Amino acid sequence: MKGIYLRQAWRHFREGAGPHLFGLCTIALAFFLFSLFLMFVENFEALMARWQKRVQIVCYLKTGLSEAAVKELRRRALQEKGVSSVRYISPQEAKEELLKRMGEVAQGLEEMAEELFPACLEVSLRRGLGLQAVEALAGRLQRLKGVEEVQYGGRWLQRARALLRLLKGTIWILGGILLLVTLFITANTLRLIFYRRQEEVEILRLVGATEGFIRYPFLIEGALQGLLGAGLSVVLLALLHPFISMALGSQAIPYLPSFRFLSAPALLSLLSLGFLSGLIGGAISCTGS
Amino acid sequence: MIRFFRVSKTYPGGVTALEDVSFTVAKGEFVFVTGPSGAGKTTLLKLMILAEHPDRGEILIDGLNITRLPPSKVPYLRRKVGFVFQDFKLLRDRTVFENVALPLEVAGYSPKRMEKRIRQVLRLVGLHDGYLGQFPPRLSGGEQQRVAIARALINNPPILVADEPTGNLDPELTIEIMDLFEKTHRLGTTVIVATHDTSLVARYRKRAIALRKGRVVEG
Repeated sequence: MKGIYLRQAWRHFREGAGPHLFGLCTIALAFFLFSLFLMFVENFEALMARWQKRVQIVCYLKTGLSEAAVKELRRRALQEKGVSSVRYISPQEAKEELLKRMGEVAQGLEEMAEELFPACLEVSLRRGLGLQAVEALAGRLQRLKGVEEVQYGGRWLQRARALLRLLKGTIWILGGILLLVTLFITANTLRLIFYRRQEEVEILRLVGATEGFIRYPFLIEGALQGLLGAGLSVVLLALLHPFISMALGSQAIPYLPSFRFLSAPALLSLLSLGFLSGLIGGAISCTGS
Repeated sequence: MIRFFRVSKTYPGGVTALEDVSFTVAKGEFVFVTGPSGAGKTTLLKLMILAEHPDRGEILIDGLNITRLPPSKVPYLRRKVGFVFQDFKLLRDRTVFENVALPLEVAGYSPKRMEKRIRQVLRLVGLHDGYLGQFPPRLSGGEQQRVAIARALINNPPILVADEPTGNLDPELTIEIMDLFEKTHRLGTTVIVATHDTSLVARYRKRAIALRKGRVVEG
């Protein structure tokens, strides 16, 4: 019996090519915009994960510390949980590093006194250390005698994490809207086709077709439209991805990771969303008919 | 086989189609339902497949009280009753093969089993294999009616019901179609034909249930 439903659905799909094409393009466009957003969020998340791995804590030291005190501070910092290495940077090294980093922009800064550059300990962290652990470690280092100030990218990372949470929340909202849009389009397209096929439906009922026999092809048709719409959006995105990657990825901006295409779970979710919303749309189109 | 017991049907707007109708049709019988236009013939036939529902009374088909049949069982009742409509009710964008195949498709037949049966029934109604791929609009009225009869007979229903099957046909074709019903009857099918043409009743000498203004006046 399943074969007949598929044959019927395919025949309806071919015969209702006009309304289906319109519905398909609208769904594909909606899914394309959503998947584009999803791809940006995924890449932003990857970028954050990469930055989080590179977080360093810089402990600026009080002026006038003896060599023994610095050595002790370094030893105590190394003993802290989560610390992989500690590097002492003298005022002279700090000045040299700044001049090197700033390049041509640093013209005129060579004359600045070394005393203006405080000595510091550059604390490198173990991989996979969470932001909360970094915050706790920074607090402990701040309390060490001889440490003037502790700096790390914590606040910035916190803001970025808040933004990521917001973006992820937006995905759910947009996903919900997308589901409703697809439902609405599929239900209306199929309702239109249902009314066009009313004579056939009436005859089918008179010759003994069950409601399932009449409705299942519409469900399959709806699912097919949703799936094809979502699939088409993925194809469009795949075609666009190299251009976005060129404009935003590591090729365009150094230090940025390469701009990745949608992950397999995201692709699967997109296609499932298309299939499911089309299926529900198909079911809605038959209700009350 | 078929029993109507005090059946009444009034359409919205107060038009009474049937009033207190009772009759019995035995298994294997050939019965005409006669009466002028508006007598209630079509309503009476539609009640047999629950295309309409009675307001009062009971209808038994093969021992089953169909007035109490849940909607989910109605399709199975309709598979037992082959129905021939006056306006043929053929799908214009489907071939003869596809039209005749509809009752088999809904009953879950495989395409292989369908093809053999369809060729067999089309031959029975006098249409050769060349008609299989034709579309209804290209056929004459008589040919379309034969296709409709083939569709009604395709799954061997024990009952065949025809509503004014010759209403749109010329006298020569009318006889050909009626002969077909008689042939089907001889094969053991219970046949009920609604017609306003009294000459047909006289010619075929079958029992007739006469309706006037929704009431049985004879039969």
